[in-house]
Amino acid sequence: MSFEVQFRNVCVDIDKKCILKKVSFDMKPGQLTMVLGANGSGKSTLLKSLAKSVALSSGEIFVNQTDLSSIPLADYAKYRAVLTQQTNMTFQMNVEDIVLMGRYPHFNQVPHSIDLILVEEALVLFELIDFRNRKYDSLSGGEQQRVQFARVYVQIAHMEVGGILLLDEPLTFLDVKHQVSFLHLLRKLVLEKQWAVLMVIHDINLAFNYGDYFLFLKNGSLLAHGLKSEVQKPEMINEVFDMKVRMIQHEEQSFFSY
Amino acid sequence: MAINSRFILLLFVLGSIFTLFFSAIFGSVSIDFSSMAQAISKTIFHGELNLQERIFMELRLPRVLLAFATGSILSLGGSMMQSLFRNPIVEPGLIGTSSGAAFGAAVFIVFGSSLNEWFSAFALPTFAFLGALFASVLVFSFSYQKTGMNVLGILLMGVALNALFLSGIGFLSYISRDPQARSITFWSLGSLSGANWQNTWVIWTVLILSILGMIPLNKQLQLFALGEENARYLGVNVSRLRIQAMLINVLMVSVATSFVGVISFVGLIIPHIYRLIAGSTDRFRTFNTAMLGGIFLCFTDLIARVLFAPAELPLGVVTSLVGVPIFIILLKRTNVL
Repeated sequence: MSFEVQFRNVCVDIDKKCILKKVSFDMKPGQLTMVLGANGSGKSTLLKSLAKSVALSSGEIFVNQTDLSSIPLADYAKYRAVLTQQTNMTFQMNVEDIVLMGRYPHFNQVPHSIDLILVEEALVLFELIDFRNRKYDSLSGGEQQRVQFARVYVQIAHMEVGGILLLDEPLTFLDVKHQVSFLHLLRKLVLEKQWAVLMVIHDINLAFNYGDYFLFLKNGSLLAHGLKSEVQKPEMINEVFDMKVRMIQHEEQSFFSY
Repeated sequence: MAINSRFILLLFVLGSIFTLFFSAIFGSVSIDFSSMAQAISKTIFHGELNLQERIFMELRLPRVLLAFATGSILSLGGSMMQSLFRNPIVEPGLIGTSSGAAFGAAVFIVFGSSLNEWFSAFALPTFAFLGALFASVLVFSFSYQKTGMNVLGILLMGVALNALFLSGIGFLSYISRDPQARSITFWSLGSLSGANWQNTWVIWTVLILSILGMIPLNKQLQLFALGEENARYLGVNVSRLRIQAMLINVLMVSVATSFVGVISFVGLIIPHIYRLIAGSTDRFRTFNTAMLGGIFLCFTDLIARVLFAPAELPLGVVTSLVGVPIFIILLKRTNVL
């Protein structure tokens, strides 16, 4: 089952301060939606509202026509996964055991065979086979993020297609090479699995290179949203970030220079 | 992985049985296997017990069972608190439970002699239990917020209350007469010499109920290692889990502490030792942690009883003396230190 998401006039207040103002947009399966905006513009809150970890003050979020507030957290965890910037573990753990944690919402005491199969699949897919018995703390930042991505993958990969994936600045601690390979793999999985993906990202050029749909947030309001062809304009970036940029054409691709 | 964890479980079950027998044999009087069997069968069929058999039935067996259950409770509480607070140096007494119990006990030891006779048998445990509950409720009520429990608040309140109760205990021993002060000290270092069948039944009931309550929480607590936010993303109701786990912890630890006094270090060290042996995601973790704690405390109590027999060492002293070297060796072996 693939998932569609609708935001309808979503407002979020935290400590009486308005963080999100009347945000409305749609997310479709197989689409990678990039969220762009300056620090404090409400990007992470937007993601958390869909992650069901902040409460809405008004408005609704619909997941396949069902109001998100009526979906129990434990059920939602079976088809919605979230990857954050960086994850530190309290205790030493093996890579394999961490990846299996992504399956915890799906079994009670003992993992089913599907859970173990998915873990194996993820270890291959994320090139972690040689690391499976390594301690998490002994890995580099890029490798650690791959482990967490694998954990998030197994959480929603059991369905033939469909799932909601939320990525909160997952590239922050990765070098350029790992950023690109991360996005490459993400791109492939989004098409293959028909996930509806929301990703908070800072790098404008990477966002336009890999994204399908774009949201621009400023001071909690959705300034603009649309497909690449509609929003990839220097004026837009100027407005969102209060910063002058130029657009450069190179082999039919556009880049921003700043 | 499955075979490995079953193997560890089996090892621990055998280890527990061995430990219970082994520590029942030795003491100021040695008891062999046949008199144990005789004592048990005579008790069941209402036979006359001789002196050795009576020592086994009335002193040794309840004491060994009390030691095992206490060790289990402390290490389970420690394991749960460490997961919950995402902090490896937390122990079950952190939220004021054991220092509250010690304070309650000290109040009774100093002022209790003026109370009536009817109160005698369970008086000390009752005071200790009330002290433990009082301290825990105080910590919770200060750190409870509308949005849920404030973890840092609990830790800080726990530290503050621990200091307050410890100075209260210090004050009480300062104003008390010599024998009373000695009892306070003895009790603050823990002792199993008060073992009888009554408290053994109570503590085993509490232990079994707590384990049954903890099994469904095991997976959720493991997810806490990824951080609260990630645990929530994996479907864990964080504030509910916190309340459940802390209630179980307070109940277990206050009952145990009220019978045997403050035994430090077991709750801190056993969860670590278990993690070094079996990792953090073992599915029999609840049982295994309980058994490892039980084995450890049985052996340390054996040492406390036997080393300077017939005199007894305070248990808290022995747990640290035995536990710290084991801990350091394991840390060295696994390259943590």
